[in-house]
This record gives sequence, structure tokens and C-alpha cells, in this order.
Amino acid sequence: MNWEVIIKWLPRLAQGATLTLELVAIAVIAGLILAIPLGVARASRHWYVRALPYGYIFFFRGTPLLVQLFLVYYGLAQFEAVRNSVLWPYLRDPFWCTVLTMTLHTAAYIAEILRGALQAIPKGEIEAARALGMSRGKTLFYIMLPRASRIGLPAYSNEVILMLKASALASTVTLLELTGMARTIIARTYLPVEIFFAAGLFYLVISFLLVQGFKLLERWLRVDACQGR
Amino acid sequence: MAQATPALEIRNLHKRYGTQEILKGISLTARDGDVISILGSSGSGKSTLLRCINLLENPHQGQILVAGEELKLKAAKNGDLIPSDNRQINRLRSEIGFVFQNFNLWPHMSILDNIIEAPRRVLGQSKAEATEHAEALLNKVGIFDKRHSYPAQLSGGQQQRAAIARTLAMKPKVILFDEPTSALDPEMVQEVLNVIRALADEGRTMLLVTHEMNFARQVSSEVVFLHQGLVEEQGTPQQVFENPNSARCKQFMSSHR
Repeated sequence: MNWEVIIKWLPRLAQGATLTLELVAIAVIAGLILAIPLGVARASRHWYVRALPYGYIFFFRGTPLLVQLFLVYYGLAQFEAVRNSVLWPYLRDPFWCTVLTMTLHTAAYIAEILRGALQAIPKGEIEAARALGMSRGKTLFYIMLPRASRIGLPAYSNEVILMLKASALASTVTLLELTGMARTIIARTYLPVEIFFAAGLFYLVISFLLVQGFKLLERWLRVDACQGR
Repeated sequence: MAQATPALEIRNLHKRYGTQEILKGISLTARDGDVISILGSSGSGKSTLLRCINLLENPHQGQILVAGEELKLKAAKNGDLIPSDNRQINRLRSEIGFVFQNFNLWPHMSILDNIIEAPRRVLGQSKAEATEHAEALLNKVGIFDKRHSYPAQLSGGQQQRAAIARTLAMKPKVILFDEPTSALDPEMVQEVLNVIRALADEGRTMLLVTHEMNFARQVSSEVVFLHQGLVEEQGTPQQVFENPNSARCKQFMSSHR
């Protein structure tokens, strides 16, 4: 193992890791915001309300992220209307293409997590809210969503870590995030083992920090105390 | 003769699950200050009756009047009667307290937060106002020192007392108790019954589904015995407990000596 090479390229890899963090952070936060209405609609009693998020989730869970990324990055430019739109400066940029795809992709998964969490709330707790005179909307907003967020948090943290690793696909559309940067460095140094080893370490450190962060969040939200009786 | 409007009136209530008829036409009137105990064996429809009153279950026939105001109902596709005016049902529910067998406290909130949530969101009270009222209620049910604890840290009896305080925080006109002590061990049963007795002594209007026969006898102004979805026996505690007319009621009472 050539440690000198690793140390030499560490700053560039760190640069790549920053881009990875940016991609993942935007995707999982925007994805969460998008997933809330999707997940709530998915848990609806009415089939016509469920249908739209169902179709969305079916598509985004049923196709690989790489395919979705290529469709957005190479596919959108086929359309004259897209090229002429005000969004074109963004949609021609690989960074925003990747952010968009990752957000839409993870939103589908988070919506399913939220649906499961909403449906896992003990029925009596919802009845208690309704019996106190809370409307459906108030019950959803003040009781069910806070409760579901605790039930779904462990699964959400899992999804964030999956997205961290899925972000490596961004390297296929020219982005120099952690994996992309590693490949670029390897093209110069011909030392794939050292550089991928270092990149792997970066991923490990990031996921370790994420796991610790979610652990604190779970403690702060008292997730354990809420499970069972 | 002019009579005061009853706090709660139920007329000819029917409820079925599929083809199974649970309630076959129940009428019940609670005047202000009445404590009505509803007794009966399992499956006689006691809890269903209580849950139909604030529409946690949908009846398929009947009328419900709260302080003279009729609950507006409409028929859904499957024959259930559902509220036709959401504002009205939410308002009436806030005036009818409901205490569950399983407490149903929200486990992610502290006891105090459990109690102030509905007054803030439904009655529009400020946090300070709701907290002040909640603390007085917690004092009353004897768990003021637990106000910053979470439901999982409390015993069953304490949880049920917190749930009663949560209901009282809405200043309900009528309180419905659905087997409030059935999930508790004998020691805890007493502490909860004491709270309910204190409420009865205050002159609150209450409907109580229970298996605590002695307690029902002591606190009730009226006892209703349900059997197979119908009121089998109804009257003062003394009459129903000591001198029931129906054979079924006689049998039930004798097994609960």
C-alpha cells in the first residue's frame, strides 16, 4: 500500500466528499419535503387519492437510479421545450440533474416509509385526538405526523445512508464527487487500490457520522420510549 | 310540564357490523348531573353504544342530541350514518369527554403536553392558559409531580388518571368512560375509581361502562343493563341490583356478588 499517494491526494478526495455531501444533503431534505404529501396521500382511505402517489412510487422504486439519472441527464435535452425553458440552465447542469433525480428517487422511498409509519400508529391514539374534537387535519398535523416521524426515523436514517452510497452514480454523469474524483485520480496515478481504499474510508467516516447524528436525534425525539408499552 | 333539556339524549340507536346487529334500538337520556352506569356481559354492546355516541363508531340508525342539539347525520354508501357537518361533530366531540380502556395517551409527548394539546389546538387557548388549567387538573387527579414524565414512565393507574385529566381539560359537558379500569390491576383500579367518584360528587354528567359492580352501585344515579343489543333493565341502582325484573339481569347480578 502506497500511503504517500493516499496522503497526497487526500485534499482532492475531501473536495469530492464535499460534493457528495452536498448532493446527499439536498436530496434527502428535499426528498423528505416532497415525500410528506406523497406519503400522506398514499395512506389515504380514498383509492383516487392513493393512485397518484402509488404510480409515482411504482415508477421510482421499480427502475434503477442509474436509468433514471440517464433519462434525466440525456433524455430531457431531447425536448425542444425543455431546451427553451427558463429551467434549461439548471437542467443542462449535471449537478442539478443529479440532485433532481436523487430527490425524486429518494422521495418515493421516504413516502413509503411515511405511509408505513402513519399506518403503524395505534388506532386508539388517533381516536383519542378525534374524541377530543380535533379535526382530521389537526389530528394529522399535531398528532399523527409527529408520531409517525418517530416511528419512521430509523428507516429514514437507513434511506439516507443508502442515498450516500447511491450518490456514487453521479460520477457517471461527469460529476467529480467522491467516486468521480477517485476515478479521475486513478486515471492519473494508475493506483486503483490505494485511491478506492481512501475513497471507501471517506464513505465509512461519513456514514459513521450520519449514524451518530441519527442516534442523537432518536434520543432527542425519544424514539425508544414511544415503541410499545 | 316544562323539563330541562337533557345533557345527552340517544334515540333508537341501531348499529350493525355486516349482518350482525350489535345495537337493536337503544334510547337513553342523561340529565345534568346524572351518572349512568351501563352494565352487561361482554358482547352486549356496551362499548359500541358509548363509541357510537361521539361517532367513533358509525351507527346505522338513530338520533343523538347533546344539550338539545341534534347531531347532523347522513347515510354513507354502506348504510352507516356519518356526520354531515364536520364542524359540528368536532365541536360536539370537544364537549363530550371520552376515557378509553387503554388510556391512549400520546407516548411521544410529556403528560403535560398530552393535556394541553387539545385545549390549544381546538379551543385556541394560549400555552400559558392551557398549562395553568392542566396543572390544576393534574393536582386534582394526584399526579402533578409526574407532569414532565412520559406516559411509558407511569403506571397504568397514573396513565388513566392523566387520560382523565386530558379529557377534563376540554371542560366537557358529558364524560363517557369506556371500561376505564379494565386494563388495570386491583390496586390501580381503586385510585382511578376514586378520581371518577370525585367527579361524580362534583355533579358531572357521566356515562360509565364498567364491570366494577360495587362501584357502579355506589356512584350511579341510574343503572342500565344491556343484553344482546337491547336495554334489558333500567332503573335506580337499588332496583336493578336488588330487584331486577328480567331473568337475564337477575342471573348476571347474582354472578357478580
